[in-house]
Amino acid sequence: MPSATSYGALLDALRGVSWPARRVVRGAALGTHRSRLRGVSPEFTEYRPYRQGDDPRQLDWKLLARTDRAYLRITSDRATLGTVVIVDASASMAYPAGACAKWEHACRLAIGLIAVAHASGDPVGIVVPTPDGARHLAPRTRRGVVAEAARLLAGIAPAGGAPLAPAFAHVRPGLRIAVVSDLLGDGDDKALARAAHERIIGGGEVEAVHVVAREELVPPDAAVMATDPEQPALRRPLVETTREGYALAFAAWRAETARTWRDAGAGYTEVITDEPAEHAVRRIARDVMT
Amino acid sequence: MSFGAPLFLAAGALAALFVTALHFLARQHPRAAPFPTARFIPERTARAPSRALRPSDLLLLALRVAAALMLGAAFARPVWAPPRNGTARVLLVDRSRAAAGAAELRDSTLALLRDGDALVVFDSAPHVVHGATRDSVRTLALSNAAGSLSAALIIAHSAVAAVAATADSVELILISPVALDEWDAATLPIRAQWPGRVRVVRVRAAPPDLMRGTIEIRGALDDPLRTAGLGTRHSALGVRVARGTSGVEDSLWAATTGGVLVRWPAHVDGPVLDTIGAVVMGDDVVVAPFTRYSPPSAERRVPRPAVVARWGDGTPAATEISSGGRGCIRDVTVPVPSAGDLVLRENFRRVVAGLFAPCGGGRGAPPVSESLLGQLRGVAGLAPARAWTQRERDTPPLTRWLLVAAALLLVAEPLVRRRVA
Repeated sequence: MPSATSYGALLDALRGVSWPARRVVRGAALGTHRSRLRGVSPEFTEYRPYRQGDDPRQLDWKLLARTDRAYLRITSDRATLGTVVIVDASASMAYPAGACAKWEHACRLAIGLIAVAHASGDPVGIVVPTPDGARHLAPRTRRGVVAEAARLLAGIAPAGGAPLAPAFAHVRPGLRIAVVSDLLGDGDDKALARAAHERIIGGGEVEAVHVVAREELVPPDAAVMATDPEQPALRRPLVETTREGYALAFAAWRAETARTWRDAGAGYTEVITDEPAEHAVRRIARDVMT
Repeated sequence: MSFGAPLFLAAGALAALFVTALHFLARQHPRAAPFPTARFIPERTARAPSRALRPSDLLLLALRVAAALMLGAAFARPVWAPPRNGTARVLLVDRSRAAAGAAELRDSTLALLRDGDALVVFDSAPHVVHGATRDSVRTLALSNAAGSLSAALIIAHSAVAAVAATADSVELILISPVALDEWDAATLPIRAQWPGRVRVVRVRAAPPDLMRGTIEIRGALDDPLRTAGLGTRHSALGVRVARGTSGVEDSLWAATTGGVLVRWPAHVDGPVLDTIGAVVMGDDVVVAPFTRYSPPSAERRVPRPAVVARWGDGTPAATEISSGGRGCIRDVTVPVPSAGDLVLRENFRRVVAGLFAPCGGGRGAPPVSESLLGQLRGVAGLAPARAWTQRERDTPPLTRWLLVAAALLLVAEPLVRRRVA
């Protein structure tokens, strides 16, 4: 498991990276995301003719004096966007056995996203569903919240098969939710996408970060009786004759999953475990901007 | 331990190797490993061929290998037997009248006899001498009976069994003059049954009997036998032909002088039984319309008489019994017609000569030819003792136990296989 102090290089690499909201936010607190409100910030956007009922304090008096026309000076406000990262800690994340590459990568991605959001002044929190109940950290902006999130993750070992959709209940509406998971929960992929869709309809944002192990894309050559760690009764022989069928089925499922999430209005990013976490975080932020 | 069919041992070992190789190559469950995306693997059979550096299911492998080895060992017919070494010997000592003297026979036998050898003494009837064989040899005496090599060779097979258990090979030694009258048509086929050579130690043959007596025919002056001149010849020990009745003094004469008393009545009082066309004596056949009379009342003679000549239908025409000493008494029922030329025919005269021959056929038969003697000796090596011990043990007990053990293992194999599957 990555220790709480092992993220230094990652945080250094992500310094200066911003993770903007996909759309204007409702928040009133001053932040970096474009706000739905038009206010008094010095960032000029446009002029608009005065209409009855407008606040006369927004009139551009100099323009009125020069041209005898009443125009309002419109400025764009910036607001904060609370961000909560939901990290999948089910048994399927503990793969490959021993190395736990998926779980470590998920932790690094979560901390990277939290750090990037926190650097923008956003309140950040984390939720980790476990068989013993969800471990969570409420969104905060105070210093040290990234370290708190790191400590929380360091104390968790992936096990069981707790579904992720109920974790959405721990997050207030309107916040941004990033789901870091392999999306392999028992029936969770559809339920999770539905929950994300409802959250997006309610004004929130959802980013799905799909963690895939390289060994899942290219299984080892040795013949094994593959056993699902979350459903031990599910045993299939991964041998020469089934390898091609597996690759096709897995690729089709990943494509279907990406389409499902994007159709739900969420962002979707597939991250392979051999891709550095900082690269993946930058890619997630860039995808939002494009 | 020895094996009757050692090739099956090799076959069992090959089968065990094959079974072991199959354990390295057999289809088996691949090693279980966690794989989160297992649900995307197509559903196929749960077994897959795999090669392993170390065999799995060692108990099953041990069962199968043990069953294969035990089956191979069982079919190889193992026999617990003491180690074989040396050569056992069977001595056939000919005490028939063909031998010249008992002393030479005893000396030859004692010179060859070793402890543990089997000794068979034979004349017309062989018998195995058990225990104290040297003492038996020292008291060996000749008999008046003709020898039979065929009977001796047959008994040699049963005598071998007693000495072949620990020996590696068996030597058959024949101490005999090997006279022609000891040889018959069955001798060579019986000899062929002996799976080795025969060492022949020839002793001196008895000389022909001396001409010490005459043929005395007691009957009418015109008796056909007398008129044909058959009674004037000299005989080996003397022959008295009683054409009428014979008395005690005749029997006493035969017993004391060793002569032959031929009771050949010239006339038979009694109803005619039938007529028959031939009399057979050895290789001589006389064809003539002989009249047979009713046989005398069936009296049981002890000892049973030896048949000297037979009618054409096989019934005895002339018999011989011992007179109590060296002599013998012959009863002849062949009528001799006074008319005709029958008594002048050569074959009839040979038959008559046979009827007047010394008791038991006489001594001094010529030795067998070198060709026959060579066939008797043979050219093979010593007979392997295993040839007799294997005949005795068709199914060695160890084979049965090995088959039972293999069957138990084969019964247990599916149970173990079901448990490890």
